Amino acid sequence: MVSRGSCVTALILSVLALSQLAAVEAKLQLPDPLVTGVVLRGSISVENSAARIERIDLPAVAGLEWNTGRGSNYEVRLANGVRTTRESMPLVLRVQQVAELTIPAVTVVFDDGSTATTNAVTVKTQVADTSLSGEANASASFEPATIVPGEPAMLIYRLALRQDRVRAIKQPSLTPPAGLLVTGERSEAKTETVDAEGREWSVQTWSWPVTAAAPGTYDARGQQEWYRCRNDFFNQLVIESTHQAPIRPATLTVTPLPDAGRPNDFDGLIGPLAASASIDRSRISTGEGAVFTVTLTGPQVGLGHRPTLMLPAGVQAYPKDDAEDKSGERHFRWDVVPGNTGELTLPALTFPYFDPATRTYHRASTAPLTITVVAGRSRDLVVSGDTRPTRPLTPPPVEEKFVLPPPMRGAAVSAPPLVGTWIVLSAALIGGGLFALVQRLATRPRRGPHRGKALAAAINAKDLDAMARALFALRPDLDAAGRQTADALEHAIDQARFGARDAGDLAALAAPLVGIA
Amino acid sequence: MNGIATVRRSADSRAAGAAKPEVQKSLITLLMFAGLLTSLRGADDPYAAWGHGRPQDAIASLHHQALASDRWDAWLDLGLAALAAGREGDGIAWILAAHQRAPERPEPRQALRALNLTPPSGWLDHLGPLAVPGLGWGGLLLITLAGLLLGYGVCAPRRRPGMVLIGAGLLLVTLPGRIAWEHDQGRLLVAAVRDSQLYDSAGRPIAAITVGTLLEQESAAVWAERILVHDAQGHRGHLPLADTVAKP
Repeated sequence: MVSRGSCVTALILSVLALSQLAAVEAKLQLPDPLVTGVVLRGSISVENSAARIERIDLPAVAGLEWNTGRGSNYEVRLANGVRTTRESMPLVLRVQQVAELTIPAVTVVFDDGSTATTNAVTVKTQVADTSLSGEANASASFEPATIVPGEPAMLIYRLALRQDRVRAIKQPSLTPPAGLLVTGERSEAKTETVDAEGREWSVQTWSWPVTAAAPGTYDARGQQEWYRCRNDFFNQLVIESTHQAPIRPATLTVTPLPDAGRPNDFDGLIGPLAASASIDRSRISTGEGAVFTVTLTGPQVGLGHRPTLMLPAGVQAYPKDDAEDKSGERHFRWDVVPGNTGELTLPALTFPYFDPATRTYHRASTAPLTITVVAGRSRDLVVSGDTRPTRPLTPPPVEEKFVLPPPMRGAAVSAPPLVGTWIVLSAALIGGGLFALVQRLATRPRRGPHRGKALAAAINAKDLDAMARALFALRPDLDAAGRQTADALEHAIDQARFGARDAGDLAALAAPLVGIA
Repeated sequence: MNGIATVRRSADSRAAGAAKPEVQKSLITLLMFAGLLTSLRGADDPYAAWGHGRPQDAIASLHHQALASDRWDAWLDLGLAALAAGREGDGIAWILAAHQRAPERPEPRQALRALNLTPPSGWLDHLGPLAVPGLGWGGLLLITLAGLLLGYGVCAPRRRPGMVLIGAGLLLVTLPGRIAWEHDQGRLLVAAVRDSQLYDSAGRPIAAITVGTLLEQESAAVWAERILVHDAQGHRGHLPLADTVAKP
């Protein structure tokens, strides 16, 4: 009788064992690209295996020589409390021909008798890049190398740097040659490759979409500066030496458009091109307008011009905005206003264009459209009286001709400095106000000396004449009591002045008056 | 007495005789200095090469002169020299720089019109002759006078309504032109110095911009080495900043 606890324990252990088994994963790592005729290195790695690798059974693959290398690499990693093991065995291989190789599952046998297998893979092989030599290799190319004016082309700049040590550049030295029109953003890609000796190279590719407006040849050439570098203590690149690599030049030939088969109305459109027409309303009243839209679709529609509408008599067409609403699509719009009722047919429009693929001229056409025009509520304008003009019409304005002015040679009057108007105005306001304040202070009536104190001083000095003058000066501002005091004081002073008597205590008599200013 | 005077005179004449060579030397030195200055001025004349039919060689010194003085006429001359040298894009950019520095002057506008270009209308164009009193040194002087009159009229011991009225009237006449001038000077106009394109914010091309196209910058901010502009046809997008910078 097996207990319930034993069952649970066995179940947990078996789940753990299964999970352990499921975690064992063998990976076949092959170099990319697989280059023919070169000894390359790959590996098979196993993660989280409880046992160590004993041997690897490599299946025979046609066109591939391979064998296990010497030794193995065993790593143990601890990250966030999780222990991960990884064991890898090196492989040495050589591809014999350029072909698509199907590599079946590879069996890895462990020392405890268990096995693991890799997934079957299909890989493509390629020939080694024999142009790669030295340490840096730069080349330019145009795709296609021959175009007609307006046809798009791609300038491709490829720079390869050998990766046996750190090499780098600051920026690509090549730019589209003068005369070419860059029609879009530069794109960039980075890959790796192997040369004929099996050495690894990093390859950077920059591409510019370009076109040319005029026939001729355009050369892309130059020198690329590159650096041998090393990583410093902070893992920053440090330049050790500077070198130049010549850029293998490329030439874009822009041939004139062929004369053979060129339509008379060809105006420079480059295909492929599609044209369509639409109208916003198919039934309108006389005098009303409908928007007629012609749409051109193609990569070079910007080269097109607004076509001429050939409309029946009595129909007016007013061009509206001409816009390239989105890349590769262009719209021409008209307000079409018919004057008569009936069925109005807007004729088909054709756009001749040059197709670079076939090097011939073609036409893109729109379909004719029909509008039903019904009688509207518009009234004719009635003019009464003499309709002849009473005076001659004003002649049309003569278009003014402008010519380039002669050089000034410093003869122009200097402009005032760009001091804010508000600063100048505020300063002037403050200046005017200050002037007024100064004037106000300067013209303020001056106060005389303190009359009461003058009286007190004259009494202290016993100067009777000064006392009389000070008292006289005080009189205009005295009230009745003050006047009475002043009379008594004056009497005492007069007695002293003319009667030769003792004036007595003049200070006590004048005490109520000395406080008057 | 007479003898003493004679002796003195002879001493003076000896001194004068000794001083003559010194004066001659000084004069020669002065003349040489003047000649050197003249030749230096001749050598520094930025228009010299242009006057001899080599406008291309004059561009560097004219550019230096324009940068140093920042006068509108210096920028105009630089633009004219660039046009004479066949550098249309750079010439237009520099004439536009002259127009921005002196939007009231007719010469840069005339030069642009001669190239079939019309700069965007500014406030000065809308004001027309009404702007004239506020322009130039005269305008600045009138505004200063108006400020002084207003300040004095308000703060004087006895109020002077006449002065306040005259000051306010002067302000009314001058301020519109002055404000329009400052506004037009502050506009951000650029010209494409080479064939370029407008891009949307995702970097996709929107519209082709041919060399010499006048554009109005909507913001001084530069994003990814591009500026937000619009042209007269209503195309709006980001233009590479490098395609608007003219170099000598």
